[in-house]
Amino acid sequence: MTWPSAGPALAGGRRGGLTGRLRRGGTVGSPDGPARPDELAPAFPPSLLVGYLCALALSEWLLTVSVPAAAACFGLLASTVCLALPLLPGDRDPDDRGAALPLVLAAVPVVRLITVAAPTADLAPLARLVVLAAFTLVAVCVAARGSPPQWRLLRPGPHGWAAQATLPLVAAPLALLVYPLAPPAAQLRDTAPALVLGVGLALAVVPEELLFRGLLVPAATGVAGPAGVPLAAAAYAATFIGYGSARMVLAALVVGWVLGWYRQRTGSALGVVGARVLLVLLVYLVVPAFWP
Amino acid sequence: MTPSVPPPVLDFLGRGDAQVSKSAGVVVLLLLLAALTGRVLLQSARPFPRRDGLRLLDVVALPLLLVFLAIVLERFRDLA
Repeated sequence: MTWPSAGPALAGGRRGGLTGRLRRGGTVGSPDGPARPDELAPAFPPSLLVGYLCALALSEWLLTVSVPAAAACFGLLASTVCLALPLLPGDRDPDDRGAALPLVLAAVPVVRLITVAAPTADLAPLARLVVLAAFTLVAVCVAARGSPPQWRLLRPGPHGWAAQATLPLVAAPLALLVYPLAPPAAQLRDTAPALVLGVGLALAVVPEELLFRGLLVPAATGVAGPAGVPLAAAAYAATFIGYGSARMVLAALVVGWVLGWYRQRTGSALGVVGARVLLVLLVYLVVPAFWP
Repeated sequence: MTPSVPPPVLDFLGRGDAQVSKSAGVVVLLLLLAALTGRVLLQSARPFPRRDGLRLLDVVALPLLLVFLAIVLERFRDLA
């Protein structure tokens, strides 16, 4: 199922693309004519996004070597984003999608640091996920305060409720792909009744989905254009490097890419959040019952 | 993808609270202090503070502040 692109709505209406992301002090165009190409400068160069992605992947890989070193790298990455802010344009038009990108880029390493540092050692696996999700939700809510209203985190996009309601159906084929590549974590299986497990898992994935699809996809697309969806999917997949499984990273990349594409096309995160919740429920509770 | 905590982190958590507090907890504290200090400095900036800068530091500081409070409460619980 496809929808017409919600690009103009997400692009902030009147100003999308590179011309909408000028440095403060730059000119959109003089009264004498349009701006020359050398007058245009992206607010957040896409190359910086790629560099950020590499640093995030390195930090995640460090988890397999030394967890404290990885925690330090997550902290360093968040600090670097903060320190880089003076190099970026100042308070811009709230319609500018690139304006919220630093918020999301800072939130990702903070959330990963919380995963390592939050005092969850004594908690049951499911309770640990819910507690981590609560901390993640705080970061997402603060980051969402600085996001343009047309990003529509929990409101239906320009295609209405019908599109959002049918979008979770995409979880069915994704579940058949994810289950063999990234089977359910052994630490969670059979630890709670199915209903409790389902509710806990649903609560655990919502903040993550709001962060990576709800905020990161439109922010990255605002800076990198069509490459924003794969870049956001790569950032999401990088957070699975610590598992030490290439198949899991591949599955995360596919899921991130597909859900990111739908999020961009529908103009709302509501449907992909539903799809992600349904995906987790299918992988944990339904597919194992039928998989040979 | 299925949510879980990476196995190396689980091993790390299994080593005990003191070990966790001394390493990852220090990173949290340092980053939190840096973010709060930056926020105070930014608030006093003239002619006016950058709103996006304040929001950025809030994104870093607020979740870490809650985690730090949770760590402190956990340590008090262990002492009790």
